[in-house]
Amino acid sequence: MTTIARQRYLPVPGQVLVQVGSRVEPTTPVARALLPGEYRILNVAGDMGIRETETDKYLVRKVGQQVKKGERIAVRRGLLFPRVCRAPADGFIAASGGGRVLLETLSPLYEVPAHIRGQVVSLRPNYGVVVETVGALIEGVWGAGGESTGVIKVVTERADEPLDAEDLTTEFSGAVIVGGLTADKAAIEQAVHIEARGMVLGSLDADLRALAAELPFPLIVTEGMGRIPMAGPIFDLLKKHDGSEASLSGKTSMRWGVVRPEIIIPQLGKSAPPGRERRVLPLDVGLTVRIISQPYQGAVGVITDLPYRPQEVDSGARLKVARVDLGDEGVVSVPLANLELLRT
Amino acid sequence: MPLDYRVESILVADCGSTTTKAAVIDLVEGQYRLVTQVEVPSTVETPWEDVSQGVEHAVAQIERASGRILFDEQGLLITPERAGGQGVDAFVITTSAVPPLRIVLAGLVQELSLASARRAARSIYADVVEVIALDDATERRSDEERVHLIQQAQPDVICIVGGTDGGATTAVADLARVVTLACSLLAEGETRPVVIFAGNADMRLEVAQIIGEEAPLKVVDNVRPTLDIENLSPLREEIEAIHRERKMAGLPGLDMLNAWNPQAIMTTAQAQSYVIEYLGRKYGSPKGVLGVDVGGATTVVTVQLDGLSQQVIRTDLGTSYSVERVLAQVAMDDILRWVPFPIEEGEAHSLLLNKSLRPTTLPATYETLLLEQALAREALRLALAEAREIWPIGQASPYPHLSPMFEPIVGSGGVLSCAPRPGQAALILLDAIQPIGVSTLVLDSRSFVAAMGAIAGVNPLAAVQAAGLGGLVNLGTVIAPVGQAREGEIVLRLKVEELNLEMDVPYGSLEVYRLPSPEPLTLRVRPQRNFDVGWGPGRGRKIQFSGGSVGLIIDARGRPLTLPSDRERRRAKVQEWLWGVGA
Repeated sequence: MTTIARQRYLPVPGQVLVQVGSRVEPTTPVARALLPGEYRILNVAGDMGIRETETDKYLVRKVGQQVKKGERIAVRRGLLFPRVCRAPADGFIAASGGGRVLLETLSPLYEVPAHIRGQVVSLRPNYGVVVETVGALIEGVWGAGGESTGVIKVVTERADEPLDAEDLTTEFSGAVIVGGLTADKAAIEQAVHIEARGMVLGSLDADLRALAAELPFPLIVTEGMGRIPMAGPIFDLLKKHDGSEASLSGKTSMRWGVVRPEIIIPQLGKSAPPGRERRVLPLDVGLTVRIISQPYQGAVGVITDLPYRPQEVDSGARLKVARVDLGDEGVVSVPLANLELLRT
Repeated sequence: MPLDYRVESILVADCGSTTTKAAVIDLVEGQYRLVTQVEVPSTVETPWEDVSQGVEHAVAQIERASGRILFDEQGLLITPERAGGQGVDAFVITTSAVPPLRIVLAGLVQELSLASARRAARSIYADVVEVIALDDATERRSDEERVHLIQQAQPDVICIVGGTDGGATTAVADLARVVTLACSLLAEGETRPVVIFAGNADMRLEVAQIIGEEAPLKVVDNVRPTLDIENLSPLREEIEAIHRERKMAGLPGLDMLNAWNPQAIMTTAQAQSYVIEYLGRKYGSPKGVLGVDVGGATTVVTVQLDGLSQQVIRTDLGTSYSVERVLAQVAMDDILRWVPFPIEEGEAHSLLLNKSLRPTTLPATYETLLLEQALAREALRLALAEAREIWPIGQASPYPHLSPMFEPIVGSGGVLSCAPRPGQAALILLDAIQPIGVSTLVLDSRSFVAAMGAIAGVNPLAAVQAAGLGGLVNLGTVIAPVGQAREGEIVLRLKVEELNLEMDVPYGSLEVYRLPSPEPLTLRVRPQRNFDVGWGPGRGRKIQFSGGSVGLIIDARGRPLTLPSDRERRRAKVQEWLWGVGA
């Protein structure tokens, strides 16, 4: 349980629709704007037979002004007939220069939803707000698709069990489907068919990434590519919240401002324990860790020893390692670089 | 700024995308030595987004390891060194963790001015994110689409090229108009892209009038003043200056490190290029000097060849952050040809992608290690192929379709320096570069080359001495004859005179002779009459050489190296080569 705050900003200036203190639902629009549409370049100088540098003189609509299809943009009065340049579509004048005018056609209104159930805690004028909630936060390693909200339904019994297309009946329509190990193409297509709101898997066949990018809902992978079981504590947490509402974001960026996909499970009315802000803790004996590379990728265990001297691992390299107790699988040596502290 | 005291101790920090290295070079018994070096994970990315934290962590480790106090009570670096040995006289920083400039190239002809502009951009930390080519018959984009593409690309720089001096004018003006419209749609202020005009010199005034106030404009000499002359330097220098101003200065945490009064801050590639230039002068041989750096995000190839210094920086080729971009350019089969075990393409794909999802992890199994090394060969091969386009073909290149002759070849970067066996690093270099003749392979096992380049500006002697005393590792001398023969046919006779060791080298083999001492030895080289070791077909010579940590390497596998097409045979060969180099 932790306090989670997310910025909900427009990409271009617009109108903020809520106030600080407002309670919001995931679908509540918090800001809206007109996004850039398509462009049309009008060769005003060429069409009207004037010099490029004179163009501004003949414009009857200036940059920023709206125009209707057929409306006059520039007029050159002559002795007999005026020469006129008209708007080829509804839009507004986005720019002018070099004897040309750039007409931007109008696009539908773009709205930013709150995405998470919570409260508005701050506001950036013309752009949006920050929404805060208390709940569980699960960070994935890779994701695709945009955002959605739905009720969590854990379909597989175990964390190492793949999703089967046959199990995805209409009972799971509108749900965020959780599968432990992975899902094949048929299972993903079945999830689309029953109009699922999202998918959370331990791993994914690398060849299915392109399919995942085209889905109408976010797909989030918690461990990596291939066939890696979901880490036990993550699977257990999702199972515990089976039937709860979750907000998913599949956005992933690996460089220059890393963004990981995430699953937020708000639990309003509860309060976060103090001192749970994100910070980096050193690895230590007794801490629970997740192994994030081969072998044992996805396994979770407890550090039993941190040898001072580097140890030789299977690759032949001598590296600083931790001894990790994996329970039934015994105690294994894992390079420190391949461990991630698990906060449960 | 020049210092008013003699610099005897230097702290050097190299902030990479994956790891941050810090080292102290000090005067010990009259010689500059690398006395302490540590390596810690970099902190350039989330959740830190502050390179200074990684450097502080590394320096604290140096303090612990050496017992030397480097920070004062305020947490600032003590400079100059105090009488009690606290602090250091100078501090220098190199970094390859700077975001690349996003560049849009707009030009008339793909194969001419745009190709030149691309080459100029490739010698800087830059990503060419979009190319607008007026001769692009396949795309047939409208001006509206071009405006939209530029806007979507969110560039830092738009580079307009095209028209030889006194050549095309109308098309250049049209391009400038499209760029102007696109700029007017991008956010105003510091983030609006800089437009560089490096085209027809006669069009400078007109282009300046068209661009007007819509974007900051820089005008440099034409990148292609005539059809057969290429002039990359002015454009390259302008892009480099913009990179320094817009990206380097904005690296999160660099302001904190500036408070430590560094004597030099430069990119890792820039520092490496100083070292390669220095080695070129030092060896003064007709051969070239080659430096390759295969990092997690970026691969850099630097040469000093026929008196010219050239560098290619590929921000899209690397063994962790850039895996996906390497996989987009290389067939998986080409990567898997370098591994000696059977593996499904899908599994290999997943294993490699997982490295890009967890870039700071280390290969802990033999299979993942060799897979990463295989990817490194292909990343390096791609970077070398591009670099060769601009290498001069002179004395060092007796066979233009093959690699020039190099002495030495210096390998840097995590995949090489962290190879568990030196033979693995040597084999990656041999397979990717395919050197010819006689070369020395040098491993930058402690990422010292960048440090050396940065230190050189503060104390050149310290850089040179420390490199020889622990900074660089001699992997060995490699002899690679050029010629064609049947597999197994003897193509080379060798004799190590001091050891009375004679060797007959069969074609197709890769052999390594481990030598008992690092002392220089005399090697008599006698190639068969249709084989060339650098002195002409059939010509032999006596040379001085030293074995290094791998040994004397005889690479008679043929040039260009061709692998057996049969998978089983190929795997067996690769395994044989790995065993041969002790890997």
